[in-house]
Formats: sequence, structure tokens, C-alpha cells
Amino acid sequence: MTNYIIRRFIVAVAILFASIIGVSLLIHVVPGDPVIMMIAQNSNPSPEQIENMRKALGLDRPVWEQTVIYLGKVLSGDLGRSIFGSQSVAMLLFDRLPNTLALAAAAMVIATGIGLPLGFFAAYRQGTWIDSVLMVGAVLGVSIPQFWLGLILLLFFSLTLEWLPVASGDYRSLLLPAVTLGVTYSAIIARMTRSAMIEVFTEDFIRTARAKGLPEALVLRRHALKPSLIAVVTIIAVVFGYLMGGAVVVENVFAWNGIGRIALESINRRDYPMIQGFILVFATVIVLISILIDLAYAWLDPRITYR
Amino acid sequence: MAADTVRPILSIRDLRVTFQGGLGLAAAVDGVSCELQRGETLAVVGESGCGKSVTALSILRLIPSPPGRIAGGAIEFDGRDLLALAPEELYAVRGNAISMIFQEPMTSLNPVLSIGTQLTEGLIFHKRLGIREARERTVEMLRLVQIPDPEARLAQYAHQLSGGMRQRVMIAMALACEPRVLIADEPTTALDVTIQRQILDLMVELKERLGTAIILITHDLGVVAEMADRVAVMYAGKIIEQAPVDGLFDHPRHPYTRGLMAALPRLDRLSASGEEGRLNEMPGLVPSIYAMPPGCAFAPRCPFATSQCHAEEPAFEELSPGHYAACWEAGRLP
Repeated sequence: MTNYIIRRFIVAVAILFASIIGVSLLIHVVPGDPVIMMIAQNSNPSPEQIENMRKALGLDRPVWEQTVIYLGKVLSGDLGRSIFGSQSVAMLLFDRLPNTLALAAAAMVIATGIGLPLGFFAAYRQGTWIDSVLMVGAVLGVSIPQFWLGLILLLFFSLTLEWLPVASGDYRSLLLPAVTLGVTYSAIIARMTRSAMIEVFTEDFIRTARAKGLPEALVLRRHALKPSLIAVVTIIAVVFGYLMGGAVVVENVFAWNGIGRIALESINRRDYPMIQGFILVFATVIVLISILIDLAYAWLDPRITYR
Repeated sequence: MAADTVRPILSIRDLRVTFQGGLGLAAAVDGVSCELQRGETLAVVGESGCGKSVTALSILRLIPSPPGRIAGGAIEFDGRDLLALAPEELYAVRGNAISMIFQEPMTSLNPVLSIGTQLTEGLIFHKRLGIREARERTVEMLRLVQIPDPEARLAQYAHQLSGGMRQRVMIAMALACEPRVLIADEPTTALDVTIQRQILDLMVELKERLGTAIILITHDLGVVAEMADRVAVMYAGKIIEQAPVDGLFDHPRHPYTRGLMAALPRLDRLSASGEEGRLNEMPGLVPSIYAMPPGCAFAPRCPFATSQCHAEEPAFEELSPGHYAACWEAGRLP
């Protein structure tokens, strides 16, 4: 088990390195230049000024050289400084990370809290109108764009009903963004739970449990739930990845002070160190989650042991 | 048989089970009637798809529904119609008075629950035993089905046991509450021949010890000859012949039963010249339940079929004491 975890961490580091290299190449493919963006704010710079600026930021070097330099810095724990405002990227990100994680966790709780029971119930009532209504609802849930749902919720709960603040920065303002994110992904979880449950229902061991005389509710709870959770846990890992991406949109709609807001801003300004930094943080979170999920498998399914 | 005068423990009357499939509604079991006496072993034989498993599953109402549906008939146990029971009453019968073992020991145990949990839960539910008592009783049962080191097995999972061991666990599970009827749906089909032998011996031994009546679903006539008291032969959703085991093997009355027996490999018939070394086979296929022929369902494959066979369904008649068959030509067969 310990060996397995150590191996997984080594692989995780490799994945993070690969993501750094990938992002580094990608941002240089995207048109736009941070220096021009920055200087264009002031006045008409001379070509010389631009050249000096590029040199100071190291942007005059070839992409591969910049990447190697960045990797070296990351290894020594330095994520560089923002091109705009020159704050430490690491400081900025770790300042905001708790906010994004709180949002993601709250959204995950909402997504699972809604999705799991609904999917379970739809599977139990498979083929009835309840099942149809729930699954149409799930398709709607997946299809609604988050920025739109977010705005509608804001309009209704904050402006019309005035139940919740538009933006206050405390836990009350976490509610709407978390609901916006959670509702979307609850639909994915509901669909997955339903199909996993339906598959488990056809298993021979469910028939055995019924033949034993167990009441249907006990058959479901004891015999069907745990095996179907294996599939659900997998989708939860995937959903968490989506959720980090969704957080970028939702944080901007609700002015939630997380990494997502920095992300959009940095991309617009081609703030390379910031972009590199927030993607590294996102990638780290997702890689850690997937390790946790793999450990959850071993707990759910005794056939799985890690060596 | 003398048992005729005793009230049967289980009696199926005119059972009809339909399935709603892509091709329409079809009867997988069409008018099956039979009785099981106390302590008796009744074998139900027939080819795949003849409705024997569906009949067995219907007794405990385990037909997957949809698409299946018990469309008619009655299954009387202990003076009550099982088909009319409320869910709670049905739960009290399942696994308690009537229990069942299945063909696939590999998949019939829950992979994520320990053997102990799966074995004790029936006892806890039906007999209201505490966990400790249930575990003691379970260890006893595992010992009875000759599983070595039973205490250690309780904490194990299905994947840690061999196929034969799993089927022993299934048998222990089925017999834990000392049922009066055990339905065994091809209990040895998925096992190695040597393990088959052990499992069958075990069933015979337990039956004698506990006095359980057995419905044994199989397509293996060798198993029938050894285990059964009476045999019902099914074809295309109906019982077409039913007789005490000796009567059936000595003098099968239905051409289909004869065909089944002729298809058995016989060591004593193998001659050195190899003349009869080839297995007999029955020509043709079982008709689809979506396209049943009129008249006798076996007529298209039957070497003795007449125009009457193709037009009218034969009645299920008693031809000699205890020996029933549904065949127009039964009296004229060579």
C-alpha cells in the first residue's frame, strides 16, 4: 500500500512536469504578447523599450529555454512573479486557493447530495414516469450554461427576493456559486448513478439476495449500493476536474475571490507566470483527487488491493 | 405412486409466464402443472430455453419484471398461493421455507460483502438470531458443507474462494434456515466434473439429513438418474412427460424424451468397429417462443409426427400409473 502511494506520487510529479511543458508550449502558440498588452496601456512605446522589456522578462529567449528555466524555478519552489503588478505568483495563488477549494468542495457536496439519491431513485423506478422526469431534468441540468444559471440565480435570490447578498465574501455568498456549479454536475452524477445501479440490478448476486428473503429496501441498501458506488466514485473524480474548470466561470459571475478570477484575468493579459501557476495548482489538485479516488476503490471493492 | 394420497408440499397449477420482447409477447412457460411431495427429489429436464429455469424462478417470484410477468396459474405451498402473497409474506417464505441455489456460483455471491455477512443475514432476518448466534450457526453450516477452516471463511470474500467452494457456500446459505423445499437450478453446470460429483453427493447427504424436498433443474440425464425420484421433461414451455425415474428411463413414452436419451453418449454401445461410435442427435431446433407451431410443439422435429400432430395439441395423459405424457402417438410408438 505504502509502495503504491509512493509510486503514484512519482507518477503525479511526472504528470505535473508534462503539464508545465504542455502549457508552456500552448501559451506561446496563442497570439498576443504580454509586453505589448502592458505597455499599450500607457503610451506609444518605442521598439527599443519593447525590446528591453522582453529581455528583462526573459521573453526574448527560445520557448524551450524559457520552459527549462521555469521548470528549474518550480523545482526550487519559485513560481515566479506576475508580469503585471509583480506580486509573487505563489503568494497570490495560495492566498486564493482556500476560496476555490471551499467553492469546489461545497459544489461537490451539493452535486453528490442531489445526484446520488436522484440517480438511485430513478434506477429504482426505472421505466416509470418518475424516471423519465428525473432524466429529462438531468439532461436540462447538464445543458444549462453555468454563466446563465449563475446570473438567473443571482437575479432571483439576491435582487428580487433579496435573500442573499450579491457579493459579500463570507459563507453566505458561497451558497449561490456552489449551487450553480453543483446543480450542473449533479445531473452528470445522477445519470451515472442511475446506469450503474441498473447494471447492478441485473447481477446474479442481487437475485441471490432477493432469493434469501431480504426486503427490497435492504437488497438495495446492502447489496446494490456499494457495488454501484464504484462507478459513481469514478465519475466523481472526472466531475471534480470539470468542476475546477467550471469554477473559473462561476467565480467570475459571482465575483468570488478564488483562483478562477485570477485565471481569466491572467489569460486575458497573457500573464505567462500567472497562467503557468494557476494551471499547475489546478493540475496538482486534480492529480491528488485521482489518487484519493484510487484509494477509495480499494476501500469499496475488496477485490482491489494495491501493492 | 403411494405418494399420490399425501398432500404435496408444493403444487404448481397451470403456470403461465410471458415475456415482452422486441418481437412481441411470448409465453416462456405455458400451462405447467406439477407437484412436489415431501422429501422428494423432482428433476426438471429439457434443452436450454425450454422454460425450466423460468418455472423455477417463478416459484419464488424472481422473474425479472419487466420484461417477464407471471400471467396466470397458481403455486400453492403450505395451503397458500405464493403468487398471491403480499411482499412481506413473500419475503418470509423466500430463503426460509423455500430457498434456491443457482447455476453460476461465480457471480451469485456479492463480490463486495464478506461471506460471513452474506451467510448470516438470512438467519438474522428470518430466525431473528443475534449476530453471534448467527455466526455460530453459519460456521456449523459451513462445516456441514465440508468447507475447511469455516471460522476463517467468514471474513473472506467470494473472489478468495474456488468455484466449488462458492457453490458450497451457496448451498450452506440456502439450507441455513432449514427450508422444506430447495430449488436447485443447474447447481453443477458451471463446475468441473470432479467437483460436480462432490456437490451432488453433498446434496444427497443433506437432503437425507434435513428431509428437504428438492426441485432439481438440469439438462444432465446422468444427474437425473442418480438423484431424482421423479422426472418432468419440458419442451417449449410445457411439461411433455412426467414419470418416476425408473419408469422414464426404462420406457420413455414421448418421442422427445427418447431423443434426449438417444443423444446420451453410451460407453457400452461403442463397438470396436466404431459403427455406433457417433453420437445420436435430434434433428432441428427448439421452436422460437415467438413463433410456436400449431399442434404439438415437437411435431416439426418428430420422426413419428402425423397430420393430427401438426394440427392439434395432444392432452397430457396418464399412460400407466404415475407416468404421464402428451403425445398422440404414445400408444403406437415402437
